[in-house]
Amino acid sequence: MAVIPGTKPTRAVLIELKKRIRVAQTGHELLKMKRDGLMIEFFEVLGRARTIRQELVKEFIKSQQRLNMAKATEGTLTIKSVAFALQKEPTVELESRNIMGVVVPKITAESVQKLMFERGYGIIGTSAAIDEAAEAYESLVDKIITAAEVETALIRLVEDIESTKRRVNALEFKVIPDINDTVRYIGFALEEMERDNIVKLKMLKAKAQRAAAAKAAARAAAA
Amino acid sequence: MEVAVVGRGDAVLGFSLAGIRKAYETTSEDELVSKIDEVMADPDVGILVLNQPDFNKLPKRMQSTLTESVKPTVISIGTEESTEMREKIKRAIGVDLWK
Repeated sequence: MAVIPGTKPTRAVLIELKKRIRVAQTGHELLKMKRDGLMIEFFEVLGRARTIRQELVKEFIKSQQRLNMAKATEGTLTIKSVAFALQKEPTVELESRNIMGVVVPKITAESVQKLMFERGYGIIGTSAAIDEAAEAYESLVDKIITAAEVETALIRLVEDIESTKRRVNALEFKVIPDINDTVRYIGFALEEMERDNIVKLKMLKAKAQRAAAAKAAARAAAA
Repeated sequence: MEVAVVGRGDAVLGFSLAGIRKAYETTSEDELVSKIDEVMADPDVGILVLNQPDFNKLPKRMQSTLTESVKPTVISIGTEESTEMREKIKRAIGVDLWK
């Protein structure tokens, strides 16, 4: 029995605790529902994250191969100079979205994919290998942007599931049982006090009766 | 907001080819750490891309701060698997659901 330390066994505290039990139970129910909801959401996001991860790895390997080809034909220096000539830079927009109180990022980006002449470097001076590498990396960046959104959402959800689970368990196995125990303890204490009182009253009554009897006897003796 | 890449050697080159300006090449581990710190403090960066082998070499503490960061969002790519996410899921759900 784990009584909340520092509670006084009075009726006022008892009433207060009974109110707290009700609050804790409603809170517990709600948190349980939140946990289940988050779980459902989590599984959905998990599936998406896994497919995107796989695609990302595939894309990454492809891009690296293409880059190596470009390096082999043109050399690192040429690729660097081509990169300097690039005009458009991929930009992303970060907003936040709310899943059951969990703030997850929502990343929007215009497609990084560009047409060949949009890239900003001369078509004639460079080989197709560079174009291919640039294209592969552009689609990789596209994938990265989606993956970043989904994976961050996943991490956030996981963190929130963990804390919600802790709170549910704390309420279920610590807070509510503790309050119940304390209520019982106060109930016992109050009963004990009542019994004490009855005994005390009985003793007082007996004493008073004895005193009255003695007085009557004394009066009778005097008469 | 922009995308930033920090990595060793050639890992960055391809990204600069995709038009990313904030592609920083680092040569040593210390440089990597200081550069990542710098990028994390940059308010213009929305997504930070790292190489998985590089990420695995970072101090554990930094790894977890990077994984938890939302703004900027950090993502590491590579053929190696990230253990951070897996561990997190395992701890929260109790079952290894990743693969």
